[in-house]
Amino acid sequence: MQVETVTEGRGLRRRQCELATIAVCASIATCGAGGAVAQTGFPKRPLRLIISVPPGGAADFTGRVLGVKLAEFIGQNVVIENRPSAGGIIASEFVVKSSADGHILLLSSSTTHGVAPVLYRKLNYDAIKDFTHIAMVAVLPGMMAIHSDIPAKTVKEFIALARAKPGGFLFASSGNGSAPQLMGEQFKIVTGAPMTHVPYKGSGPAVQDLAGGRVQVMFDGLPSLIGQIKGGRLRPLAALADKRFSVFPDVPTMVEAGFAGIEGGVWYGVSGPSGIPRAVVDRLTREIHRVIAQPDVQERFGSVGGIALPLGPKEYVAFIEKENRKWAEVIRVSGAVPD
Amino acid sequence: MEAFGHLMHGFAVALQPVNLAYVFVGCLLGTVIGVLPGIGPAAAIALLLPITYGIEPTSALIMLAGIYYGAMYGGSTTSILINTPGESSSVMTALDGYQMARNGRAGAALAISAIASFIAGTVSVVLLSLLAVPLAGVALKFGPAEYFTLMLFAMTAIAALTGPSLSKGLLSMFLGLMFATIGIDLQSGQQRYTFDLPELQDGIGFIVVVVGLFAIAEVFCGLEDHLKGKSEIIRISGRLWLTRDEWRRSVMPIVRGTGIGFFKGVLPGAGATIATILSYSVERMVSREPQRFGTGMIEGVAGPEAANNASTGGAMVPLLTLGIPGSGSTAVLLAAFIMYGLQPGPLLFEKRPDLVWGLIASMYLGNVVLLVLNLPLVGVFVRLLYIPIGLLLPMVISISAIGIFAVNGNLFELYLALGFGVIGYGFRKLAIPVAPLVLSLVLGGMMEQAFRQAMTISGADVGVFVRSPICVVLLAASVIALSIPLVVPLFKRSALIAAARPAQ
Repeated sequence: MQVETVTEGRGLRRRQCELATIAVCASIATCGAGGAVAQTGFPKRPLRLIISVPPGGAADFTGRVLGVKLAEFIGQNVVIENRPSAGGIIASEFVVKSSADGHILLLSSSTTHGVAPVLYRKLNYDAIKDFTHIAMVAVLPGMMAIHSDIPAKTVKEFIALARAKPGGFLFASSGNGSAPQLMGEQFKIVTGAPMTHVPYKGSGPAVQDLAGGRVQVMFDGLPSLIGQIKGGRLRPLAALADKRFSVFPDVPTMVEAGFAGIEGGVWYGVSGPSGIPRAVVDRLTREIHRVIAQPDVQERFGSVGGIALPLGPKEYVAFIEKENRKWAEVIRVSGAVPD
Repeated sequence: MEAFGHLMHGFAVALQPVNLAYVFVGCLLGTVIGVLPGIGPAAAIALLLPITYGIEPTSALIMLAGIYYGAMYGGSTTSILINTPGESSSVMTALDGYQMARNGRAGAALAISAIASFIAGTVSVVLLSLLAVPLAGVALKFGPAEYFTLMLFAMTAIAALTGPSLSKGLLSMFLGLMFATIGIDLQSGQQRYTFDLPELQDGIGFIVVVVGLFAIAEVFCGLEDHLKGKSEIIRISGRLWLTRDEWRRSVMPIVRGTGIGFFKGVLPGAGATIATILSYSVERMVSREPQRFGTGMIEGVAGPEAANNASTGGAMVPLLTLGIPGSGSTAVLLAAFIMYGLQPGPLLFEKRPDLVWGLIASMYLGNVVLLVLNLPLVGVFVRLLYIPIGLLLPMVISISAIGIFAVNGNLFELYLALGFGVIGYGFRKLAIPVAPLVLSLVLGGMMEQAFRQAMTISGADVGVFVRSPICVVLLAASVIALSIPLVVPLFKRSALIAAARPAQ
């Protein structure tokens, strides 16, 4: 009831829409809950999209952009829930154990499904078998950004400074076993630059310390970095992609900066617990792909260097497995293990 | 003056009838939801975020800020009336607020909490209007080492200053720190002390512990008194409203609490909670009768309540100027900004002055709305205390249970709360304070992570904790806080004499 009222209101004049919203708010306040939905089948009630990081980073951004439009298309509210933990393990376990009717979904990501399955030896779930992977949503190639007080203008200058500094530089990540950590490890392997990893609880706090200059460098998707880059506290050095970012056309790619084989980023998809009925999966895949085909959604992703990547269930699983192989190799060579 | 012009423009935005309605609805929803324990400001905003979909961004953010404000306000009511803090920033209010209610001064406690919140909220918005841009960089001066020492100070202050003895306070604090280690370690992903129980992986939630230690323990004690036939009936003594003396005693705590709250709010990380601890500690330290804290001192309500609400204004500074959320609630607000395609950060003030200043102006209005909304409710809420004990106790239990169950829908947590209720009852009988346990549980995880980050950054050099002036000051303050209970007895005689005088 909640969202339908609001979205239908969009066609009306704006004032009416706003009054409708206030009325809805008031009814929620007085009844304590929205009324029952006069609908059968899926979705029976609001969907819950679990995000494995705290609000503010790239994953949260993607989940919320997706959630708003999905609610509109599917005719039910989409409630975003942040359940942060290392490797997204808490969020993943929560979803795996929930009922497989398609109402509880995980924003699966490079962290939860790309890295965690190959990083943690003892997980209580299988990242492929215990999930119904529904759709891939977007890729956000990584950006290498340094604190602007560091006098390096290029990747090569940065490496020279790192070598000259006793102990090398510190690189921040959104947590142990996160994609930002492994991009950093990959950078270390390829360039040999001495760097020590400092994990944070999500990209937000990591970027705060990076902007404060206590850590010097971070590799992450653009959403968490872009505000501070534009504000001048961070300097972008290279895109970890095969193309330059349209929002930062002057920043070279890693290959252009002289280093091949450092490619990565963060990616997101939607997954649920294993055993979601075929028809529900089909509906969700269709609606999610419809969301990311919207020009305004693509524009939102594009503004932070993201690319919509609508893969279906089978292709998404294949993509995850390919990522697993790549990061397993990085983990093996770098020796990055939890604790 | 530039800021003033912007602010006037902001009022023009916020005073549009539609936006005014959103301020009102936001404050109302926030207050209603904030009264329920378990649903603090962060959860309230997260829950209500979806209903703002489809609203124009400025209006939506104005409404969300109203919810934030309202929920901060609502939390103190249950602290005072039924000794059940709704969120961690209301724990300090419960210490003296509930005792005031037992002394028959519930009306005064609720009124001062509303008035202190109003004054602090308004002043902090003024400070926000004037200082947001100059203070933008301050948050970045606080690194892991500074956070660790700040939390260390907050914890030693509360352990040393809330109970009858230092050792009991420390016992309670260390238990809290130990409970805080339960769950999946955020740094390494390893499970710690979970005994393979999936329910413990997330750690033990604040609300479970607080409901157990405060509300359920209270019910046990009430039941015991009732069965022994000596349950006291609380009567409103004197007038419902504040007496002149109570008002006089509250003024300075409100002023100090506002300052502490705003500047602590500017620093990201558990802003409101630490601010209330610091404010309470300061009031106890400057008081001429510190030994009476915990027995219903209005200073112990006015200060923390002011600090709590002033921190909301402070927390907007790093959010709006840096895009860095200072607390769980502002993190959800940040998510809302981003959802509306706005990137809080250095450029937001330049790019969207209408939105930023509209939001700030709406916070002024929100404070007025809340006062108008809450003061008349004081008389209504106070009547709760007249409810016969046979009805009141089950009511407390059911409100608490709903609060816990609503968060995760997990039966296990209800049993856990019951277990903490038994612990809380034991603590009562042994006169061990529960506040240090609850607050160290809230801060313990962050404190541990800050410690480990600081150690990684410094290359395992403990010296990092004495290298910055901020750290040194905070460490010194911790030592002072710890030594107060040891030193004060030496001066006890003279202190007692001094205390006796104003009491007459």
